[in-house]
Amino acid sequence: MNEAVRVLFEKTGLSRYISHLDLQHTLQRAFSRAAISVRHSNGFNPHPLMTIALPLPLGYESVCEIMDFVPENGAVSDEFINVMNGALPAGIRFLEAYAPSRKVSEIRWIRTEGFWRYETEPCIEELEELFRRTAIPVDKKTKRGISQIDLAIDSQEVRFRKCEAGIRVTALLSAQSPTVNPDLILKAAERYVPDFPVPKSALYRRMELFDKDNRIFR
Amino acid sequence: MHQILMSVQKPARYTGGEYNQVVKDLNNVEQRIALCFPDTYEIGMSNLGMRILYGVFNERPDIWCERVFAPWRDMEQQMREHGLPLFALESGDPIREFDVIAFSLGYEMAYTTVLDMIDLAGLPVRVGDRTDEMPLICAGGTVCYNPEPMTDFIDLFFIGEGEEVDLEVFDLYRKCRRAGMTKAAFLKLAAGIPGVYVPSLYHVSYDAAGAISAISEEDGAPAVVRKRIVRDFDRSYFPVRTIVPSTEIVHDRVVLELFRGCIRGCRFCQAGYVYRPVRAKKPETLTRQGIAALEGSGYEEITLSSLSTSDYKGLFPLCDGLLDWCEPNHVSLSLPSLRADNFSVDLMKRVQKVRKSGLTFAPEAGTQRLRDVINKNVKEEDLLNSCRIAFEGGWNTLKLYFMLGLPTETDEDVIAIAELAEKVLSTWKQCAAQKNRGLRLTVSTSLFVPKPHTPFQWEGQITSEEYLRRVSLLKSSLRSRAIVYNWHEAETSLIEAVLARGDRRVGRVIESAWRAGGGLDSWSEYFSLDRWLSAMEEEGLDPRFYANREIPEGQILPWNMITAGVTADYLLKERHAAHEGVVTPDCRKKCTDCGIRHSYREVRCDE
Repeated sequence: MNEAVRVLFEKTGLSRYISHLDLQHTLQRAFSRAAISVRHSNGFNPHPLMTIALPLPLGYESVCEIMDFVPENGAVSDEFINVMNGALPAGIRFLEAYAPSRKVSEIRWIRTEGFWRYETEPCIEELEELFRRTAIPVDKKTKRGISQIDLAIDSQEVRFRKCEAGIRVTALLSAQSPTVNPDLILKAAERYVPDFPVPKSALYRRMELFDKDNRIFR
Repeated sequence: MHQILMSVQKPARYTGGEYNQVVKDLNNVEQRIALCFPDTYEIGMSNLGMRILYGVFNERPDIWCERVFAPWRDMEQQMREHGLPLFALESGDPIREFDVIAFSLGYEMAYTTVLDMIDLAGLPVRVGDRTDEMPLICAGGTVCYNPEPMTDFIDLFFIGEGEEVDLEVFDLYRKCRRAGMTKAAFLKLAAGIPGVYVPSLYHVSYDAAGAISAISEEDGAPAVVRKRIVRDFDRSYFPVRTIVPSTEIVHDRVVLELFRGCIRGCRFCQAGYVYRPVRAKKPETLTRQGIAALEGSGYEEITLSSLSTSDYKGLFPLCDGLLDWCEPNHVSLSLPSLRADNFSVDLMKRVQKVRKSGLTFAPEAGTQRLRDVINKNVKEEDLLNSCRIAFEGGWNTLKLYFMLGLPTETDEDVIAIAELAEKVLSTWKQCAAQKNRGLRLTVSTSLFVPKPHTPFQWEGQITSEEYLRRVSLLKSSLRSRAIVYNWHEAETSLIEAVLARGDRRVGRVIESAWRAGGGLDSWSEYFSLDRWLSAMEEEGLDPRFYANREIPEGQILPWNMITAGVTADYLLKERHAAHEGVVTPDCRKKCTDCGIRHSYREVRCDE
């Protein structure tokens, strides 16, 4: 996508329940409302040239989503962010727009925060113990079946902190090949920590994107 | 809440937060309205009436109207388990705390869902079990032309178009509440507003055979409630700033309403009678509103809506005006409800400009004789001519709709449906522009349901067994493998007929069916004929009495206290004409004096 514009945006609050597919329609319509023409593909069924990187699972929040699109006339105005934010539904907000200098495939890690809600005070020592291991294999369900992931390799800096009503989790998780969903940390805990209690609910939020050298990706 | 939403399908339909939803500061609001649609979000958000009323109510600064839809079963179960009462999408507040709960009722099969929603709100379903402190529960919509089956549950009905009358009622209710009046005292006053039906002020008695012997009204209530209409449709409210759902709905597009009413007078069609007089918007108005709605919503499709789109006088200027904007903006235009007798090359060129979708014609009956009986004045040569134009223009998908069980239908009429479909097929063979892809021709039949306020309101529905016999007859008559035949289930049509022609006693059946697990009955996965039949048996009522019986002409009809402005004499005259096979010309050829002109003298019909 030559002449593409990259948008950094957040998807929080109520908009976390908009699925990836619905998000594409929602953004397309927001572009139309803002009177910003997106170039369409050629072909029998033309579609707008627009790609959202790294689909965000339903129910997760993010303050670091990335989308590339090709504006019809090659560039966007200074007012672009403001205009778009007036046309978006609750919870979706554009933060920055710029010419991309790097490929999305260079994203290696996503810093994710999670909150596991408990009614009784949880214990985190065993969790910390677990993530000091040199191998933490877990099963990951994919469309093609179940694959094995080693969280000791594909996650970094997994930290747990007790807080009111639950546990806060932060981690750097592999963004692609393989994609590590933060729920796998919970899966690992359930598998390896004896009598690990299932939380009442689990909330996750993507915080930042990094490349393989742990530099922020934009 | 997060935990609940993560455990159900498509949670975005329960969150609100869509673009253009209306949120108000409660400090500035005096009255809260819960506008309820007794079906899922995807269906309810596709309804233009909901969008119009939402806009009309919210234009008033002192009113905050919010949307409420029926949760799907998984969500309902979660809500009941967690003690979460039915809430409005905008605020998330329980609707039992609102001033008014207003239901939009478009089809009979939604009745059990209404009960489900009232119950889920934490309110008693029966009028008599609700206190003065609980919200006023009212309903409007097409099926309210026979409100009787729902009178046990609804305090007040709006008859006709809600744009004006609803607000008059809400204002009166607010005044009465402020004055400390009881709900009963309010209802008595409300009954004086034209277009308002308060069932508790009417009493119905029955004879030994179960027919109605008398309907009487209390002092102050009108003997007959006449529907309200929007007089100046061209200037009526249109939702230009409409809500854009963030999740897919059924009709996910701008809907432009060309006109209300219909000039045709098909004798089975309730909408064709109850929406009279014909009132159209100017093409300039529609072009302006359509473009503004597209700009304001970002939708990529616009559809023209009416009972018979090709009868709209300004169709070409409208299409051209819209296409001038749509084509450069990648927006497609679709035209449903085209008649098979005035489809033209000019029209076709306009429809296919952006994207070529399938084409549907509804001849309704297979023979000219039966089409004359139902007054669907489509000639076979017109239909075949329209098909020829479409095939020459490159169309290769066509659907044909028919009804089985129409009054006077014989086996000959049924077989003729197959013959007509074969003729369409051979027309395609003769003149198709693109034969390599083949023709996809679908024939669909549904079972005729007699509807109140139509010339066929007295007719009996054929039994399910007879319908299925006619279905097999048609199936065996369709020889070509190029024709796909779909038939609508008879079971829902039977219950639809019971509810459509039901009287007050049917309310008990609705309640029994709901208590036995009913709700979302418009969805085949949740509809159960057995549940309905057991409910009828339990309440000592016979489905045949309501659905299959021919009602004697002199008998009092359950909906006698309601009029759509068309006289009973006219309906009777039309019925007799039907049985004689005599057609009635459309309103443009000649005014047939249906009574509308006298009922609404201030409106010029079809100007």
